[in-house]
Amino acid sequence: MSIISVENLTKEFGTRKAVDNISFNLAKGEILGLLGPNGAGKTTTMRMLMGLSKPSSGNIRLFGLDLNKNLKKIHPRIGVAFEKPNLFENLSGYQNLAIYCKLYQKPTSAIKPLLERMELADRANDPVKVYSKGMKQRILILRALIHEPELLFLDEPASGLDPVSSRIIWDYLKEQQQKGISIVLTSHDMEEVDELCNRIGFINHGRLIALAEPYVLKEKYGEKTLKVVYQDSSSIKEEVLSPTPEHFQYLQTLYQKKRVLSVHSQEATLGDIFRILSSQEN
Amino acid sequence: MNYKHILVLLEKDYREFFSSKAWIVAMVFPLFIAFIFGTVYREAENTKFKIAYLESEAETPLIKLLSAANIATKPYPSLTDARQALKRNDLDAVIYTNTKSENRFSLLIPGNEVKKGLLITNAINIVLIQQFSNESIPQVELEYAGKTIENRWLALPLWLIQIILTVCFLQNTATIAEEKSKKTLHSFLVSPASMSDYLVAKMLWNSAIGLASLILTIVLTGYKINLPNFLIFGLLGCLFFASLSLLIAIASPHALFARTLSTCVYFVSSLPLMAKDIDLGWKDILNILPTIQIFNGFEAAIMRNALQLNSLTTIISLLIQTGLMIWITALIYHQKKDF
Repeated sequence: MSIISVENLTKEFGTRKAVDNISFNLAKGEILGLLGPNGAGKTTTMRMLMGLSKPSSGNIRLFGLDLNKNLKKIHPRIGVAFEKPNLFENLSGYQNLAIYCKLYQKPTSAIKPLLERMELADRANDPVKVYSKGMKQRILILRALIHEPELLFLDEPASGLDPVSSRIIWDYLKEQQQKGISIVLTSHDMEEVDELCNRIGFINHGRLIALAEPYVLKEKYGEKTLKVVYQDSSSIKEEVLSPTPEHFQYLQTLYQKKRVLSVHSQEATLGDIFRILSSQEN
Repeated sequence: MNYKHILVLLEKDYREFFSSKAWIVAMVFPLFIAFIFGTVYREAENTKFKIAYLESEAETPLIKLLSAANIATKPYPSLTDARQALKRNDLDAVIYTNTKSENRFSLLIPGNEVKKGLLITNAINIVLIQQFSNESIPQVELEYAGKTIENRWLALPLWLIQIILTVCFLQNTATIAEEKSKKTLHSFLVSPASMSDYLVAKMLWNSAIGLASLILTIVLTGYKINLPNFLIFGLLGCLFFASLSLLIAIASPHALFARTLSTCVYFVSSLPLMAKDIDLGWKDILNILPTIQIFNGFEAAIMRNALQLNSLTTIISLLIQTGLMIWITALIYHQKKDF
């Protein structure tokens, strides 16, 4: 059974289609990354999956249950970390987590080890308003996971964070995945998506235009290139060549003239694919 | 609805209230009112003014009236003597016939005693109004206060309504609008707590704070009221305006709109109180308005009237209006496609 099953999901705002006929599934323990340019429809899709926005048409099933009819049964089983750090700023990190522990009827004794795991134990009693962005983001993720949900939604989990904070969050999310938690995340950080996601869905103009494992996307949409460093008449030059017959011919000529210093093959990155898919028209 | 969720949300509101210094607003009102009633109004009521007049004007009707009233008067042979006495602080004011008209008087006060001048003018006006009753002048119905309380307490219901409007209405609208814009509300909407739990907790918390502020006001002013009338109408007032704030905050598209709308509603809610004592044929219609109903309840409490059976209609009316606000809020929430 899929954890998420989405069929022909559409969301219209007036005459504009923010999400256009999207369908996909998410398996247990899988991390799905939703990529796309700003305004592509990623957050709207996530909001519909959380039950915060009603679809114009289409069907969403979470844990095999119709989302629209079973919100009360589904909400205790999901965790959400919004992009905006929507914490209670005047309360401490501990108090923020304690409120949600009580709401989910979980013991507050679980909070301390989690704060230690996220390297926040020494600041647990400070008000959240004095926390850095990275610390707030870590508290947000702990809050989303405090009740041990089966499905986690993360909207830009490590957006704008320093590498240390990002690494702490990524490692923690991988641990959660190993425990069997399924995750849907949106991101603009290609490194994050490459590191975490089992599959990537690329949304543009409201449509899901690609959905596959990262390596498949790289093979399908990206192209390997050759980085050539060669001796010109008076200086050393560098060129990136795509694998076309003309470029191979050009490279062969350079070899014959013994001007080639080095050649490295380069794999397409998700950033390249992002640019290619973003530029595609409807 | 789940009472356990409501208790957690109440605990969250309690912690936020005291950590955000929002409690200062709820405290400032009672302290301010206690100061107004305990010091400023009392001084105005109890101060005995000493006013000088010219010996040559001793027989004018006004001087006779002032001498007969509760104002100390003292004759002086000339305006120059009176001015010197005023300079020495032997007097509070000098009253003399205006040189331009025999029917007009001038009141001379020290330039730095504006407040005292206003109080003396007020005291003289009261004497004049009482003496020269005229159909065209709106009458102050002093008998409705009876002889049991001092005049200053008649204004207390207005101040109590202001507490409800500020603490339960304006502050609550601003809090929920902020929770919406910061999306802290959304974190509850994807949790086991329902929107009903959230709305009920918000209403209960703000009503509790409003009622606490009202009680604190009465404690600080030291005024003896009819407790059942005060508590019932205080609680109903808080509940009604807290429910109205929920409606505005949930229905508003953004925080600025909610704040603007609530400020307008605040003024509109205060307006009927201004029209209450004006002699208008149709003013009874104002009695269906919640502000007037709550005001009447507070007035009965101030008069130390026992809770009457006919208050039951008002109580039921207020409860129905509160229920209506909650129902409309829930309806709007369920109709909303996006939150």
